[in-house]
Amino acid sequence: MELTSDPDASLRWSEPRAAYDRYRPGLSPYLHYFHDLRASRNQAPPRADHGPDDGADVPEQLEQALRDLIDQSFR
Amino acid sequence: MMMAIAHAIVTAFEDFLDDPAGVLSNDANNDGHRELGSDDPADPARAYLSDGALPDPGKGCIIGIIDDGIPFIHQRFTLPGNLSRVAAVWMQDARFRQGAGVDLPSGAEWRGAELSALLAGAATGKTGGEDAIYRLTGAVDLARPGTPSGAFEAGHGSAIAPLAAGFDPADPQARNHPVIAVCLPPRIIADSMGVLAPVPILTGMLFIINRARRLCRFIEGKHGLSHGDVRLPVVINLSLGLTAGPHDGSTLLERFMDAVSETRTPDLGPVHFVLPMGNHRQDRLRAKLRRGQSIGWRLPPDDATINAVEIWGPPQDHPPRGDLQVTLTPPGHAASTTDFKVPWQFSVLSDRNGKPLARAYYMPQLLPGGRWRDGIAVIALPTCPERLGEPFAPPGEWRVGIAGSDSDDGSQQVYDVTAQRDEVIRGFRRGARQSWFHDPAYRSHDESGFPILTDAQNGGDPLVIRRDTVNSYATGRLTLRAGAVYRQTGQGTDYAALLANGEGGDCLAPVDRSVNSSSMIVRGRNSGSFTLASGTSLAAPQLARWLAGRLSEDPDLDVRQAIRDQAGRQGAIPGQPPTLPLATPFREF
Repeated sequence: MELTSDPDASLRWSEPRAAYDRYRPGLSPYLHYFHDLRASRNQAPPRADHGPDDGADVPEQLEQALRDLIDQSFR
Repeated sequence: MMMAIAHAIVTAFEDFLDDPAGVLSNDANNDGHRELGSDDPADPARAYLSDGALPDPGKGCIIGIIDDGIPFIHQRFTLPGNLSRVAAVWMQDARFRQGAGVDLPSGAEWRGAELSALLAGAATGKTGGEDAIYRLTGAVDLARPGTPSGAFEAGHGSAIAPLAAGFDPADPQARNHPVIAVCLPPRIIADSMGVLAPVPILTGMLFIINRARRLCRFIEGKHGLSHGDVRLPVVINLSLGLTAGPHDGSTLLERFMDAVSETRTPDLGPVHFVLPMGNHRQDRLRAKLRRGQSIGWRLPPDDATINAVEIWGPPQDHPPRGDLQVTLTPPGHAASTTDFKVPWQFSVLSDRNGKPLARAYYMPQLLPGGRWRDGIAVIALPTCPERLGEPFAPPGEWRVGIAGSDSDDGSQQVYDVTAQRDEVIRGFRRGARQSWFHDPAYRSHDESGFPILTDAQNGGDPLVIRRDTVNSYATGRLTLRAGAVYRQTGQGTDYAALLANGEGGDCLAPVDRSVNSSSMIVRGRNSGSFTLASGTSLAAPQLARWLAGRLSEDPDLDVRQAIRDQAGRQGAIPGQPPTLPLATPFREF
C-alpha cells in the first residue's frame, strides 16, 4: 500500500523559544534535548523557560569562552 | 605558572558537574574540587613515575590517549621491574578518589608510582593480578550503575591504547614514551550518536596538557634541572568522532585543538592531535543541497534512539537573521517549515494531536574571521519509544528541505546536510539504528556488484556524496587525520571517509587484512589477550605512535613535512597519501 500525504495530517512548529539564555560548556541541541528527556522522566529538574530572543548573544559568548579557555590553558 | 594551570581545570569545567545529560554517576562527583598545589610534582606519594621509569629529559615524547576502558596496567605499558609508564590516568566516571585529583571535577586519578607499587605487589603475590588492580583502582566496579566497560575483555580503549603507546617492556623506545590516559565515562561511549562527548573530551585534553606540564617539572626535579629545561612534546590520540557538524574547523573542540597545537610555551613541547578519518564514506550520511531542494531521510523502525540531521549554510558576512530555515515532511504528513529569527531558538514539531515528532534548533556559528554560518539541527524522536507512553516519530522516508530567504547576491549557494551517526559500539546498549539519505541518483554498487567508492565513479549529479565525509571532530587546520588501508594491497579501505578534496586523510595506516578479511588483531584488556577489530579508529593510534617516535628525535619537527617525507621512503600509491608501516605486528607464536 502506498503511503500518501494526508492533507488533514497537519503539523505545527511551536513558536521559537531560546534553548539557552547564556553560554554553557558543551551547549548543544543534543544536550538540550537529553536534559528535557531526563526532566520528563523526573531524573533532572525541569529547565527554566526562556524568551524567544534570550539566546541572541550566545554565539558571541561562545567565542569569548573559547578565548578564555585557551588563555587559561597556557597562561 | 603552576597555579595558573591548576586554575584552568578547576574553573573552565565547573559546569562539567552540571552534567545535563547524566553521563556521570552520582558518586563520581568531586563536590569539593580545588586547585592542585604547585608542590604536586614533588610529592613522593603522588610521583608521576617511579625513578626507574623516567624518560630521557631530552628525548621523550608523551603520548596522551582519550578513550574508554584504557587498560592502564597492561604489560605493554610497563618497563622491566614492574614499573608503570603511565604517568597519570584519569577515570572520569570512577567513584571519586578522596585525596587524589582534587582539582578534577570527578572520578579517580592514579599516578605512575602508585601503579608501579600495585604491579610490584601483584608480582610478589601481595595483591591480586590485573583484575584485582582494576577493581582496586575503580576502573571496574560492578556494584555501580552504568555499563561496566572497564571489565570488558576486549573493548575500544584496549584496542586503541596499546596501538598508540604499547611497547614490549624491553624495547629501548618504551621508556621515552610516558603515557597520560583519560578514560571517558562509559555513558559517553554508550550514546550511539556520540554527541555527549565534547565536554568530557575537552576536559580530558585539559587534563593531559596540565599533567604533561607537571610531568616535565617532575622530571626536572628528579634530574636537578631548572624550570623549562624539560619540554617534552605531546601527541594526543582521540579515536572518536561524529559525522555531522560544520566541517570547517569552527567547533569549540576543533578550535581548541588548533589553538593548543599553535601555542608554544616555555615549559612544554608542541602538542599534536591525531584523529581517525571516520568510517562512514559509504553510509549515505552526507549531502549537498541548494535552497529549494530536498532529500529523502530514511528513519528505520524499531530505533530506540533519536536521529538527527545538521544543515550548515555557506559563510555570510552579516549576523544571523534567520535566512536559513528547514522544511520537514514526516511520512504521511504535510510539509512544515521553521520560522527562526534569533540564534539558539528551538521549535518542536507536533502532529495534529499535539504529540511531538521532532525538534529543530537554530545554531549559527561565528567563524574565526568574523563571518557567520547559519546552522540548524533537526532531531527526530526515536521511532520506537524507549519507555511506554513516551512520544515517538514515524519511521519511513522523511524529507528535509532547505528553505528561507535568498542570499544577498541571489546566487545558488550550497548547503551541507549531514545525518548524525547512530552506531552501537560492541558491548554497549543496542537498539540504535542508523538513518540515511535516499537519493535515486546515488549508486552504491556497479553492475558487477562491486561497491562504488567515489563520487566520480558514481557519475551524474547525486545529492548524496562520498567526499567530505570526514569525522567532524577532525576538520581543524592542524589536526592530523589518519585513514585506513588494506594490508594486502595498500589500497584505501572502502569504508574510510574522505576529505573534501577526495583524499583519504593526511596519512594512512594498515588496518584490515583485505576487503574479504576486514579486521586486524588487536590487544584485549588483559595482558596476552587479543581480539579482532576494524576501522579508522585503529589507524589514528598508529599515526600517533609513529609521530611520537619522530618527535622524540626532533621535538620541533614539522609534522606535515615529516609525513610527506614518509611518502618518499616507500612505494606510495599514486594519488594516495603516505602509508605507514604496520606499527605493532601482533606476535604469532
